[in-house]
Amino acid sequence: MVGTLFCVSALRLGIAAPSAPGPGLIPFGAAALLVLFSLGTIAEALFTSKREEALPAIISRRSWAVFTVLVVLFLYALFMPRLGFVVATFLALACLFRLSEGQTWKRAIGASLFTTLLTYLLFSRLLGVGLPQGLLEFAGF
Amino acid sequence: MDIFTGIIGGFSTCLTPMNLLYCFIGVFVGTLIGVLPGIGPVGTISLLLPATFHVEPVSAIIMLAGIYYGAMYGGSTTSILVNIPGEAASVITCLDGYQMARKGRAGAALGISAFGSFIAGTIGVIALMFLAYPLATAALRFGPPEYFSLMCLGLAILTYLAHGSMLKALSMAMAGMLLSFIGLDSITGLPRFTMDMVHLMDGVGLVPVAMGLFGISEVLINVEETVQRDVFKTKIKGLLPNREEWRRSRWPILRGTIIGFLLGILPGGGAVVSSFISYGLEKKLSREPEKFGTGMIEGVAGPESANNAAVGGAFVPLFTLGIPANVTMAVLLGALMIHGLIPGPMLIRQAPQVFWGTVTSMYIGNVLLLLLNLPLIGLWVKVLRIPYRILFPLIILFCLIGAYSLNNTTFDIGVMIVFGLVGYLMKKFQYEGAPLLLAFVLGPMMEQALRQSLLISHGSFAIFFTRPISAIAMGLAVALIASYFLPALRDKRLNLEE
Repeated sequence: MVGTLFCVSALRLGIAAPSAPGPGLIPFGAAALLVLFSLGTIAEALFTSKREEALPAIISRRSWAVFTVLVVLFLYALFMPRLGFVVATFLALACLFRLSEGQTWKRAIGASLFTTLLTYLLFSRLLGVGLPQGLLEFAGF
Repeated sequence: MDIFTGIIGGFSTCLTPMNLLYCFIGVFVGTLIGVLPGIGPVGTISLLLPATFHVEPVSAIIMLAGIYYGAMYGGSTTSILVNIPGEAASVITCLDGYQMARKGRAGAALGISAFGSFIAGTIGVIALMFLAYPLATAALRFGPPEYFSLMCLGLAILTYLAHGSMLKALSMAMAGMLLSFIGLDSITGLPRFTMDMVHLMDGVGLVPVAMGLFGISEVLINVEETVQRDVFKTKIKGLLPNREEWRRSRWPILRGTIIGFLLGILPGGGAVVSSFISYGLEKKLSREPEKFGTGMIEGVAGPESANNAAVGGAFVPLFTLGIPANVTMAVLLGALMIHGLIPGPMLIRQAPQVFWGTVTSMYIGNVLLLLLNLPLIGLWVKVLRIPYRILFPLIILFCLIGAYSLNNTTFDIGVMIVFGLVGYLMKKFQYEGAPLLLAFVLGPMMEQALRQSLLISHGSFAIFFTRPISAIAMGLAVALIASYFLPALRDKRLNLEE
């Protein structure tokens, strides 16, 4: 599907001729090969005797942990500019530490607070990385 | 500038206090991430790349190169003490290294691994110095068709050596290439595949893609699996191998060095393949092959030497042709370009201090690694005991800061998360990330070389088969890919893989 989309877009860009290659010529070639190899992979899976080891289960007992990490990361990317680095990182890390087996909310919050302040001092104050201040702008964080 | 003037200049560059500090940071961080399973040199180099934007290019490359060869040293520690490889290149060391540790010879295994790595690393650097200069001079005569064919060969070898289906690896290579075309066309200036997003006009960033594919995805897999790490409890003593162990190790070290360096030069091979081949060779040459896997020191000395020598070899195509031999080198190539350097035959002439400074820093780095790995082994064992539940939020945090600090925008964080998810799914469905990332880095160079070649030949693809070097490289690339479709040869490849 991705290959086909790229093929169509590359054709719109114009492939011109090999003697005067247009901006779409080489992407079109790569996309066509992607379609070809993907069809080959499907055919291989369907028609040949497989010697590959069995695929690991896509959904496992702890898939929820993966899902939670991803949700936390997406929310972090979405709200970090508004909340600021310190607040967003503190909240995200608290959730991630809590995700670990055997961690209580109290310990997770403590570890998150310590790590956030340490990384803020290291990256923002020491290395001069420009991190958004957000809600704590008034306090100079 | 001749080789000896270059070496002297290189030492005067790398021995400045600041560059020594960067070298130390590089090898220290490299050993640390080598010891810690869960993040490899690709992820770490991508992570630290933004931190080097404000330093001199030579210091940045010295540090980033240090991470790569430092990781090779550190990777063996976990293989020997925990039976879990810290690095893919140390997988084979688990077989005999861990058994040696169980028999009370953990010190000797760690010792021979460090000394073997030091000897191989140093010989690899010497070979790199003497080979790179003449090769770069010869490469000045290469034109776009030669470059295009060599890059095709690199991708073909990488996909051939990829784990599992070659068709999957080829698909990933094409996907990586398409990804690299996103942004403004370098010749016409037309936006391509940008979906009218301003952030995509400059293309997709290498760092967020690499951090996502090799950092975040690794974390997601580990969060799901919760691997138990039982560190070997006995006290580690006697890090110096005895006379008998040295006698048994000297030839494996030498053979591993030669194999590692030569395979390191070849695109796609590198440290992992050379360590496996070295192990296989030692087993074949041994008078007691049946004892391999029960704690044979040859099974540690050979592969550990091979993976370190491969590092020196991998720098040869990067510095002389501007073609990365593996994914780590692809990220280093990106680092060179971000610092305004053009990797390839002109690098040695236009930025000699970067080439010679980096190469000579590897001597210093190897000495530092020997000092770090033997007396500080207790520290690395303590690092190994840090539970993953504490490590993973920190790895994620550093990835987030690294991605954000590139352009001070959360768009790069979004790209990193998306590729983290893509990398996670790729691992689940047994697709490899290496062909994708290598093609992503090579894509724009391949496109430019192909377009130039077609303009030279007035649209004839025969140009790739009429020039000798190009014809050999392209012929090999076609043969490798075609071999997958011949049942007899495909079975051979699968047997080799097993």
